[in-house]
Amino acid sequence: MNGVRGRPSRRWVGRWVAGLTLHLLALGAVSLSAVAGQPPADPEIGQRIYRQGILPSGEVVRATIQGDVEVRGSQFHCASCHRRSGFGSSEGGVYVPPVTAPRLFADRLLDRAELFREFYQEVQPPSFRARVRDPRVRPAYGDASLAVALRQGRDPTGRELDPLMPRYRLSDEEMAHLVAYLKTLGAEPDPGVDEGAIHFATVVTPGVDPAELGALRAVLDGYLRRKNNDTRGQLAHPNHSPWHRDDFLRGYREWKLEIWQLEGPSDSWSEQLDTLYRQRPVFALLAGLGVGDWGEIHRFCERRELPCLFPNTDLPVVTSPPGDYSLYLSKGLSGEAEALAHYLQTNRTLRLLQVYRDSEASSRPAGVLRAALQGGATELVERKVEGELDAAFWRDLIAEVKPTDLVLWLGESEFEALSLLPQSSAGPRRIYLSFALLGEVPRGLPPELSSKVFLTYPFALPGREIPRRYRVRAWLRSRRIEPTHPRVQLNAYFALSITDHALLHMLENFSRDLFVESVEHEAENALNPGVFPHLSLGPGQRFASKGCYIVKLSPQSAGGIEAVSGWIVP
Amino acid sequence: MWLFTRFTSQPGRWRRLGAPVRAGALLLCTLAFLAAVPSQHQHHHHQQQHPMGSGEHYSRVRTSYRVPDVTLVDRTGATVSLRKLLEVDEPVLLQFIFTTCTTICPAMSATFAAARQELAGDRVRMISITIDPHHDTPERLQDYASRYGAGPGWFFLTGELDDIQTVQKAFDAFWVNKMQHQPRTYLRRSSGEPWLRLSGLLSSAQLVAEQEHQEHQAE
Ligand code: HEC
Repeated sequence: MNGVRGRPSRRWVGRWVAGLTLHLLALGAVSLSAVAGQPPADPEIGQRIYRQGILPSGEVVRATIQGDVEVRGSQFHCASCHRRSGFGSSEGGVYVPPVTAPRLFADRLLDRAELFREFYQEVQPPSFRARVRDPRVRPAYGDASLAVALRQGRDPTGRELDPLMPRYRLSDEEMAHLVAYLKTLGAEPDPGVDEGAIHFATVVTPGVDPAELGALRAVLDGYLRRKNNDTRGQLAHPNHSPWHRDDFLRGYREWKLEIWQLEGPSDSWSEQLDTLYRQRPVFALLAGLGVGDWGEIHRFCERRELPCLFPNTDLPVVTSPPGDYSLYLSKGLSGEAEALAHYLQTNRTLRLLQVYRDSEASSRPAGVLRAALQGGATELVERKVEGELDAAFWRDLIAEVKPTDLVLWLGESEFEALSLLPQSSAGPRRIYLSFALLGEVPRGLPPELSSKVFLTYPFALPGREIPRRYRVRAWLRSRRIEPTHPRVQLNAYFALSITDHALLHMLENFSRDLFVESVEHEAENALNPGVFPHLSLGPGQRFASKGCYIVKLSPQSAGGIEAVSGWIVP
Repeated sequence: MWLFTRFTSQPGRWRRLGAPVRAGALLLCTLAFLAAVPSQHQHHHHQQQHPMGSGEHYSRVRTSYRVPDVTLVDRTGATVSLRKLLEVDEPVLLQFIFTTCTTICPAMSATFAAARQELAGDRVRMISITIDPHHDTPERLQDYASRYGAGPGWFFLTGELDDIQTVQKAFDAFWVNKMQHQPRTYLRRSSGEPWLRLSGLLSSAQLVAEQEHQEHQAE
């Protein structure tokens, strides 16, 4: 039950059932605590202890690990080891068991499926295997034995728990809140999965080029067709072993994916998404194509606790705290601006003129650059512009400001007029542009101008070998998918293949939190199809690619550019 | 299990097998392994070490490492030569961590912090090197360090990915996926001497005892 998380998806039935269950739980707690003269146990307070280590008093919980190391709950809250999902982890060969309600409040027997999941996670060191070999059979926990485990580190059989499991100092009241939360944790599978199928959607905003959407669809369709064929094949021949059918195949589902095409202004998207979601609850949003701010979709996902994996957007939400469910390929234009600021500072830029427009795609990176340069040695002059920018406009502006360098958060057509200016040596030294905003490397500029143009370039450099790129491209070819929009297509392939890997590791535990945790874990496992030089995540990390190059135009080089910086990670 | 053990000890080779083969091999090993589950009495470890991840058990290996000549960046943003940092006559304690690591790094760092208080009178140099340099900027390391009350003698280092990986490889501590990173602590009495590598999680008392033991060992 999900009284704490309360997905609006089940607003009518779900809320009611959840509410009722909560009441029943609360009633149970009241009757118990009435005896002890305590306020009722509140799973929401318990959730704060579990996820943040914050007690009802506002203090952080304290504990001892490794026998003699005093720690505070800000680093040692339950979620840091057992994870938000409650399914535990296996980082560094240290096995942290699941603490979801179905696991804690049931006898632990020798469950092959569970061992299988734990073992299958990844290549594990010998000690880990030793651990999983030892199934530690124990009876179900009750409120009292759970308190003993959390305070004294003994399980119901009297076995001493690993010293890494903190021995917590919790009052009876705090313990009651925490236990009330543990009773709700993972007690019910998440929406979007039924007996036969797992459902996904891909969100597309208005304004997307139909050809780009077609190219994306071809990859999505091709991937799902192959995936579902494979699944059918596996289901038809589960002949490997007696438990193969029961344990491993339990996790197989047919993949179904809908395109959610949004319409109209962005302030109406949230409602459209709710309607679509009510019609077809999905387990996660995969890939996606966005023109403009992705914020509305981000907020929808956070509100629904719905994982949203790697949409193609230049404008993800980058403000902190980051979302729990929105995972991005990169910080988009904000990341470019941060890297540029870093580069300008190391390059001792004196007087910088920044030109931008009112649109989000232009004003947001301008704002990021402004903030990043504040207090530094670079003097920043800015112009927010409207309407057409002709040669006269540029001539007057440059004469007035006399910048040493120029940053233009503009598209190609808006910057073209610069090339009409007489190229005098008194003009700016360098002109910085965003590759993402331009869409492509500008070609055919007069040489004098061309030699001054530098781009922020947040992708892998052309001609760099990324091993998996060839495999993925070969896959596209074999499906007769034209790589007309390689970035969008390869990114979609990444979102799908990482989903595939994550689900495989989850077996039949369809928890969205576990899904996000598995994706965080898988991102570094050589799945990068080559749009970005490196992709990696970690617990809580939300941007898989973290840097950007600064390049100059170089017609004789591969792709017409040449890096003038390393991979800047601001 | 031989297949599994052999390939896991050669990560490069393992990777070159390609995903389908890898998945198949894993599956085979897993099945073989599960078939062996009921006979759980015969625990035999290939290496002579105690189970890790338990405070009472960790393994010790004494070896020499060639410290690469790389320039890293500390938590104030200043560049440091790793060799220079290690060329000291005082004891060095070194660990690899990353700031978003959930299970083991907080425990490793908390143990460093606790041992540091114990060793307060002694001159020791503590070094925590991130294995996630693309995420762990100097600011993030500073933030992480302050969570453990790290003073001036405790260095936190990041740098270029290639340099960090060179260091990891030099200390035999490279993992393709940082999430597979294992808890190891390296102790060295003074410049030019071999290192003591402790694998597993330790209590503060154990770390202090290891440190003091090697300090008082005869030349
Ligand atoms: C630093 C990591 C860490 C943190 C933080 C942590 N645990 Fe644990 N926990 C473990 C490990 C490791 C074990 C396995 C111990 C064993 O089986 O020997 C464990 C075991 C348990 C068990 C026993 C499970 C079973 O099936 O017998 C429970 C219950 C538990 N933890 C609950 C919690 C709760 C609740 C919190 C937060 C108040 C918490 N843990 C915080 C690492 C952690």
